[in-house]
Amino acid sequence: MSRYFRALRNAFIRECGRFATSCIYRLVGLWLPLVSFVFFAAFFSKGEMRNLPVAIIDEDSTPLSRRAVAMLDATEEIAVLCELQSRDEAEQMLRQGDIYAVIFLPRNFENDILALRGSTVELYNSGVNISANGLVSRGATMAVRTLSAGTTIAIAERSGASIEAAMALAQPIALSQHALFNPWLNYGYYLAGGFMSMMLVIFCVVATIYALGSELRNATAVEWFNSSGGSLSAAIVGKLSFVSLLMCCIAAVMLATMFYIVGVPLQGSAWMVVAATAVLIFSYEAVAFTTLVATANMRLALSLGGGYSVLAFTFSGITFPTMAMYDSVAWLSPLFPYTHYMRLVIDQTMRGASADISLPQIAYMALFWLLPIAVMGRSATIFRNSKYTKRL
Amino acid sequence: MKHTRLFRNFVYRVSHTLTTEWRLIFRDNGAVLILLLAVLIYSTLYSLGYGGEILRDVPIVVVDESRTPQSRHLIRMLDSSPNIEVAFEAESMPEAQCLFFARRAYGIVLIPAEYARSLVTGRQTTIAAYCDAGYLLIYRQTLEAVSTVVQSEGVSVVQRRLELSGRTASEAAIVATPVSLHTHNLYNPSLGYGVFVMPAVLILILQQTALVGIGLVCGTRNEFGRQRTHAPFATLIGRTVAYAALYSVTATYIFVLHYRLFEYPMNGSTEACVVLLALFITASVLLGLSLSPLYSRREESLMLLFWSSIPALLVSGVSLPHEAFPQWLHMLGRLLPSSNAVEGYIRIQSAGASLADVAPQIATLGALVVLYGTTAYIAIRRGR
Repeated sequence: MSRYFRALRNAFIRECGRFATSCIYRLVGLWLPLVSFVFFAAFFSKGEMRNLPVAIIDEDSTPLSRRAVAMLDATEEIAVLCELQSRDEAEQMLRQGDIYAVIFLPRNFENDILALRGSTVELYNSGVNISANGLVSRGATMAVRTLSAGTTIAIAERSGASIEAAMALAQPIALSQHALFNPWLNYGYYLAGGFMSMMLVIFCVVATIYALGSELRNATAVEWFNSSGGSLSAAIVGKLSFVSLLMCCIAAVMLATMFYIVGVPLQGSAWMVVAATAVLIFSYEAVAFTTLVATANMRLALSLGGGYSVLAFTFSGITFPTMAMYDSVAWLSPLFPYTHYMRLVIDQTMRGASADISLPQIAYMALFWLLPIAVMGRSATIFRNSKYTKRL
Repeated sequence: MKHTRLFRNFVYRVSHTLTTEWRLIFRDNGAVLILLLAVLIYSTLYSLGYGGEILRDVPIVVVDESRTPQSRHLIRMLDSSPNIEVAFEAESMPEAQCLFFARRAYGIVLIPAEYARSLVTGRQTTIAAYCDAGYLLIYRQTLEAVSTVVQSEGVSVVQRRLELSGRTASEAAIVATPVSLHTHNLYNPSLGYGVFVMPAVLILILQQTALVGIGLVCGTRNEFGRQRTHAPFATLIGRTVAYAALYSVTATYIFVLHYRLFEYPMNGSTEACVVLLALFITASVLLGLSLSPLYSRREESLMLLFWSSIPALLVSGVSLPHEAFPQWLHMLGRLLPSSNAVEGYIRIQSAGASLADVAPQIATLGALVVLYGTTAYIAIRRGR
């Protein structure tokens, strides 16, 4: 046993040396992940989306229409950039991307409302960016509803109703909105976790494939096995424990950035997130190992492994929900460890779910550890046979 | 006479470089996989992933503490809204939360016990909606649907109340909502997710595969050491044309066939699209050639560039509009051909913008062609 441990230690130390001397290894294993985390911290530093520019066409220009404009501008979501005279002008600004929407107040707006004929505010909302569209729509809806309710109250009071009765008339059924588990409604909170873990996954796959594949590429596998006294399993485990250690350090930086700098909330258990992150790293190492051994070609393994890791973002359903996908592709979703990881992260950071909700996700991820078993036999062949070395 | 000979010489060198480059590409499975096949594979997979376009019938759970005809009516109205579906009725909030944590329901609506009584006696009552903000698209959809139903239910209650007090039905309707909002969603009327995100993703697929693929071919060449060339300019033109020609083919496939297949908007003029995409492809190829001295081996471009797709997508201002992230990142993003092409192309094809409308993007892309043309020239002159 102690001989095996020594073999393992030697493989580990040899890998440290390779890391220290290879520039590209240091880049993908350390510096680029850090650069990417700095990027995301900077990208999400502004917090919420606010004050999207819109244009107003006010054909009425009466006290009431001016109040409507002021109310629209006062919402968090909308900022009135300018007032225009014609629809052509507005359309041009929309096409040039200077504004996200045009809000149109018709002639006789005030008169029609006061004379109980009713009036309509028209919102021309660009659907090119649906996150912006949603915000503008929310702001305009709230402002117009408030204006409408205020007018109803004024009318009711004029006809002698009590304030309470007037309120009940303006809004008989109020809706109290509770954002379950992201009361901040910060897009960044939930995207930052998704993007940063995506980076971890990409670098984990690339670093693992490089660590193993460069031995084939440079025909150094013999030297590698000599370091571990000829034991294949000690050689692989020793090497991958170095990669795992490296990735766990990177993951620690990632989690620190997420929680302390971007400010992602943590409603549930921190240990659960930490454990899941470690399991995620091992799962993707298993995937990377399997891809490399199956292809026996580092370049092809990088192409396939990299593609597989990036695709997970779409199919995990964190931006476009799985339930809205075609049935014919929705089944792909669980085939990425990342999908399970993101569910767990959302459960633990935002929803504050209990452990029994999250344990199955860890189990799903751990299933990917079984993948290497399928290629164990082949790994002995490819790492020991010079036929597989120096392949491009 | 001398000029003609020089010109002929130049053309010969360009065409020689071009055919050499093509031979290198097509004899290299790795390069074919990235430069040609990856474009097809990624574009199809991503489009299929977002192919559902719209979220319908989000399952929600209702906790009805009122249990009256009025509350039953509200539940039926919620259920008939196209965006949500009352999948469960729970006895209590804890039960509803269990369904929520199990991801069987994505929102909870609580109807209070005094709901019907308040409506009858003319007091205000409050419905509570708990929506899942862990997924913002689902959140928005559920909340919008619930609030529309509650609002219209409220209006009809007021209308009935006013009619009882002697107003006419139409008058009552106006007192209940004197000002209404009429929304027109322009350019993407059904607010499809694929229509929104895919044009940007497709442009990024083109740019990223070009950067990685060119890096792969150049990295392979670099493995044999520096190769000084006698005619760096002709080499630059030859290589640029070689890749730009390949990408004209794939871009035509993407923006003509693939676009039709997945029914993405094509409202713009062909000339505007061609000008913008030609500049975009040239700038991307030149950027790829400029980065090539960085790779001493063929696999290095794959390793160094894979991660950059997501930051590149973000700075193009698609996932989040550029108002939501720091201005300096937005400016830095302008250095990528993709950011300018995404902005311009979406405007042309979705909003029907003319070439004049996207002049800023065209100008930036032109500047990038000059900038990366210079850096690529330097790279080639230095023998990389």
